[in-house]
Amino acid sequence: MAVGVVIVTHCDLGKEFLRALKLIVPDVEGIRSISLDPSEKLEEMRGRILAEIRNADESDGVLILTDMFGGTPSNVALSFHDEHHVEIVTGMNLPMLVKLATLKDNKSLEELAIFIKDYGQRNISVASQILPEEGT
Amino acid sequence: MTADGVVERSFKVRAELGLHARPAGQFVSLANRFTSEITVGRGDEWVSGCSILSILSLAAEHGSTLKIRAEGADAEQAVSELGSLLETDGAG
Repeated sequence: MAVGVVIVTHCDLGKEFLRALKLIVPDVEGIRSISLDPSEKLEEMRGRILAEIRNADESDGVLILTDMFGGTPSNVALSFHDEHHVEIVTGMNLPMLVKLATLKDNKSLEELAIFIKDYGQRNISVASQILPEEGT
Repeated sequence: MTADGVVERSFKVRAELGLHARPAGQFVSLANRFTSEITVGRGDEWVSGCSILSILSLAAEHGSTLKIRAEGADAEQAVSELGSLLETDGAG
């Protein structure tokens, strides 16, 4: 994967997302996570995110996944949008991570962001709409 | 063998919890080692054998039957090894 991936979340959500991902795709590499603590100062948060953006960027940009639009992790991540080659996708879920970890084709950052947003949305299901009816 | 280089066989899912995320990941990891194109079917629905989420969408529970189809030079070996994985009691 030429585009770097960084997860930025409230508390340790990102770390736990990665732990779950590794159960499913044990050899995953190159996806980083940052946990933001509510007591942390804004500049500390920005500093840690910037460091990971730099670590993750292999010249094709960095996709930042956050847990929820409007939350601090998203807001802080969004502040890098204009000054760095990053794209931010909010409201991440595990299917998105599994897909990113197993994707083989090299998409550009912009293509990847749109693709993975659509993918995450498509993989939210209501049980009664997917389970076969009794007796069929 | 249904045609040159095409192998398709059915297997029962033996894992107690069905083909859930972890065994699906193992299945895809193994499927990726073969050059053959691999698909997995349940009833009339067929999905890529190289996509964890697609395989999960088949919702294959314990005891269900899945078809594995491989097309390519190593099709026989692929179906054989992937089938063995499905039939491993503790997969996952």
